[in-house]
Amino acid sequence: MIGKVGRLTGEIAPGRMGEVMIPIRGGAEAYFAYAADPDESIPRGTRVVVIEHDPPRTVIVSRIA
Amino acid sequence: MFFYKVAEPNEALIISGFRAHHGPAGDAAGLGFKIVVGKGAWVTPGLQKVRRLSLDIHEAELDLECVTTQGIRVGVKAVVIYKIADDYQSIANAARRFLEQEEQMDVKVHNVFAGHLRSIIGTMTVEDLIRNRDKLTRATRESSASEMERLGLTIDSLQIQEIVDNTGYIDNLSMPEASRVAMEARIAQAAADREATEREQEADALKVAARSTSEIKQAQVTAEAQKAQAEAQQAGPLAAATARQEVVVQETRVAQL
Repeated sequence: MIGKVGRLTGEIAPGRMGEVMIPIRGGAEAYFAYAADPDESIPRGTRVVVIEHDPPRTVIVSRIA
Repeated sequence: MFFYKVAEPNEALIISGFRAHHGPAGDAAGLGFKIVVGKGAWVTPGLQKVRRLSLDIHEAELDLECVTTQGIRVGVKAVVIYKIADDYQSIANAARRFLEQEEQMDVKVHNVFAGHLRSIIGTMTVEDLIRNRDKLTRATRESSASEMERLGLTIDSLQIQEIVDNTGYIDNLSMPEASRVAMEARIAQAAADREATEREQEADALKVAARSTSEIKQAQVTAEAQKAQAEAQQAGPLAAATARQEVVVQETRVAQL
């Protein structure tokens, strides 16, 4: 799970939850996404990498530089 | 005595009993049962029990009376499309709650979501509800995320199908724009009418002027013609008079001699 790259389908506003589509188990699933930096805001469509998995359906993501 | 049970692609086998106390790949220690997805498993009848949990998509229809953030009462018809999430933790959560009562799942999710939808719509305005899909999906996600995780469910889609508005708010929303368009139509009509009349009058004036010019010319021509005619008519008598005068002059001259 960690290290997977996905695209944000729901914007992450500072301190708020977004949504990311991650290719997993041969399909793609939507996970709830928080930004690693709580003050950061990441727009929809940005490619992000999963840096932490908070089971079951939450991940912490970071923008790919 | 063993049976080999195979899970369909859209279901999970939940195996409990003898030697089924470990989770898949050891990532759910103390799970208390075994989850098998996408493959088969040996089952010992009597010692183990196997049940199937469908991972199919489900749909709950909602028809609620809600109040928006402006305090406006609207009837909302919505559909929630959801399923049991595919990861083992979610399957475990859902199995503990919904196993062998999947037909009740829709009812339960319906009840949970009725509350969520009410609070979601409570944070939105009617205008947002009509136009701002992003805000709706974000609000849905934020308000229901933790509860859905707890139930092992994931929402694929929330669609608002119909907004019933008994206060006439939505009709009134359209009123300024409709009135503006009606006003512009009337102005355009009046302007067009005025311009047409102006042009008509201009054309009439030009027509009259042309007619009078033509009549003057006709009169001039007639006058000249009549003059020439009169002159022509007097030409005979004038010639006669001139001749007679000439005769008289000659006669007088003869008499003087």
